[in-house]
Amino acid sequence: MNVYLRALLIHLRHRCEILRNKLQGREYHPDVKGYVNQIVNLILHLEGRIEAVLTDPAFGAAELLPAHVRKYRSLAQQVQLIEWYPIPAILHYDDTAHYFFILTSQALRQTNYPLPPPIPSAHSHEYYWVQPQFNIIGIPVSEEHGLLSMPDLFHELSHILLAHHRRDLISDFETELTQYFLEERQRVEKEERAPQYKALYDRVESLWKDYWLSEYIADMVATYWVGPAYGWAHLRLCMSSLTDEMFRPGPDDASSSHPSDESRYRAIVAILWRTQPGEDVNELKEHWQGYVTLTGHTPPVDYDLCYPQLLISALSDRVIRGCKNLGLKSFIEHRESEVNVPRLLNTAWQQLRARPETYPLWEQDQMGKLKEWVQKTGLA
Amino acid sequence: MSDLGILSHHYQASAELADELNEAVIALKRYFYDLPGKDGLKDEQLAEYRCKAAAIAEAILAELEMTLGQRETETRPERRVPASVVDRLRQRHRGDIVHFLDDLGRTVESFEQTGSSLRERDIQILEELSQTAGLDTAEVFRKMWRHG
Repeated sequence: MNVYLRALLIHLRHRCEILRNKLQGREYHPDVKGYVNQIVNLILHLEGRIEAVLTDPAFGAAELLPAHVRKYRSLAQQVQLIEWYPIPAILHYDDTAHYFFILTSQALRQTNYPLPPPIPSAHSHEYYWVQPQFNIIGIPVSEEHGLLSMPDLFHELSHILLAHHRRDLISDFETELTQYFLEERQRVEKEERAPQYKALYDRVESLWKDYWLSEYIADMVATYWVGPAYGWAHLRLCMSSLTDEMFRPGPDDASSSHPSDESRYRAIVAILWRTQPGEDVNELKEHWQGYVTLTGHTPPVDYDLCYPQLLISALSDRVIRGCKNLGLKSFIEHRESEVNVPRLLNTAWQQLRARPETYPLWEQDQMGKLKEWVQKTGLA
Repeated sequence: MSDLGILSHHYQASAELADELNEAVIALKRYFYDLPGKDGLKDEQLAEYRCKAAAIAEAILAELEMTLGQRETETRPERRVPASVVDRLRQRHRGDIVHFLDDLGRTVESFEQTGSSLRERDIQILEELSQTAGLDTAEVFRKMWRHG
């Protein structure tokens, strides 16, 4: 096993060299030059760690073998992630990616985003995605021609913000979660409910902590930034791409990394109610309700145990406080200016609903103006 | 929206924990079993590894005790541990959880007392924590693979 592990480590080191050579000795767009250096340095760091295992004087000792195998696995995963995300984004960086880099940079400046703008990978076949570890955002190919999906870009940006400012955003909400589920489990005993409820709470608590919480926070911060436009985009996504089973996963299949669409809708509304209650939120609620009625779906038994409104409300209070403490600008704070991305997205959704027939022309016109602005600010 | 953002948070938390534990395992085993390279380990480095091991083991112990209602949630340590790692340990020790918590508590104390010698059981527990975090990381990575 030692000989084999050693061979694997040598091969991994060679793969690092290949990746590094792919990046070095080329000309890059100024947007990504610094980023390329960061990635090259990261690869060099990994090579150093591989070398350290290979030259460990105790390499091969039976006592250390399991830990050295784990170390190899961890290093191999890191190399693979670099190969999957930063390298393709860098090597395929083109005019569309540049357009999104400038657009995102400007939009983030308007929202007081406190981190460097991410590197866009503008050839996504998986809608929007994000890799916070490498500060990369995946953007679908046709996005430079439309506005309606762009609120989801802010959702992905929120994931990056969360990776750096988790504590600032939610304070000790995880402790509140632990307390909540502990009390629920105690209630199961006290009320002599079926013991499987305890197992359900165990599973749901885990999902909240490892997955759902991140998704709710990303939804809430995106709503804080772009307002009702994010709610309308969520409804459209549910009606077009996602399943119409908005109450899934429920208690019987609570294992998915995404929480139910219905609970995410409530997370969005919770932020809207706390920032600008009124006509817009009511209209969104009416449309959502209409959609739910149309599908005929109803919440399964014990659905509320998975997605208690109490937790969603408490989280939305924390997130709003967190956003304010971080100095982020909410959608209601933007003044009239030449171009303001959050305002534009809300106007786009208003236009679509008010004048659907003329919307394509209106959008085309706005995209032209947006591109001019991006070009102008990109040159500045 | 893809799952990648959510999975990445989990992966990063789990991978960082696994790496820290693994480094501590390598250093403390080298010291405990008198393996080559032991002499290169400075006292301060050893103390640092013990300290890190103690902090992680204490965070895991706290999570396990809190979910069992044996500890006040207000006393939660700052250090975050993925819930799935805690779950794995709880499942594995379903039959001997009281004994395991007791063992884990002693290991925390043992790592904290940097001047005292370690017990073989401390090393075994640290190895188990490291292995569990590694398993968790590998599982999340497999989920991310689909997106790669």
